[in-house]
Amino acid sequence: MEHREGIEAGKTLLADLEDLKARIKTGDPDSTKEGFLKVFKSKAKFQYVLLALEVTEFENFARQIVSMNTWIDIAYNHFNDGRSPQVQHIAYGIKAVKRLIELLGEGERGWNED
Amino acid sequence: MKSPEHNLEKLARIASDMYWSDLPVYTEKSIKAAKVLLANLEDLKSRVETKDLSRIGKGFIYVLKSKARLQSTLNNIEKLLYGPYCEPLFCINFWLDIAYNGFNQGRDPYTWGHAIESVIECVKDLLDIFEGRERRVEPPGSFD
Repeated sequence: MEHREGIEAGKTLLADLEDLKARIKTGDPDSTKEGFLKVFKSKAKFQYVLLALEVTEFENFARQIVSMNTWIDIAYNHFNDGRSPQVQHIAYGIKAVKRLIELLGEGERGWNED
Repeated sequence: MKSPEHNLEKLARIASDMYWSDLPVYTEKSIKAAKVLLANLEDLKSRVETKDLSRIGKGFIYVLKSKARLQSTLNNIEKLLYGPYCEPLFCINFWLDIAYNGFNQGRDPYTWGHAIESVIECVKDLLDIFEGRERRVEPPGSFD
């Protein structure tokens, strides 16, 4: 497996997080719930690819992964408690995913140079 | 009605507290939430044994909800990321996602069921830290 596949999986998650943000803004709980499930599925796929790429042992990756999970979970818990999930929490999750994609990009460049 | 600026300021303050405050990372609520997560993981394990996809799917949702609850009880994300909690939290999320992806891909639970056992061990590891016990020798999925 190549870093490119990790970047693709990260971008899918990013798109699903943006989609979730848009769903939250509609205020429709069913649509928001569906958005969260899509995010959980693409996040699970992303983690699976990161495992295959053997990058999760690096602390810089691990901390961004913890950050991503924390913010998504905080938003999900708000939603489960019947509170409106804050778009800002999702935005923090997006920031962590973007950083993970950057890190994968750095790895890809390094790999190509080799 | 509060202005949007007021709400933004409030949100910024909450986010700042989450990051930088001197609040303890975890509280009694976190311990309770971790125990609920543990119970839901055991429930998921027994659902996996039934091979009933709908029941397993529901089991995952219970776990995802209780994990979200646990994460929400944790304060001070800066300390969280650089403290001893980071590794077990990483492992909990990581192994759960590996199991959930296996399930979503329609793979045989034989190939991903063990990941749930790893999540359980990681939650126990986190509880050991919360409750001041000696940590297990090698929690699964350690990244150091």
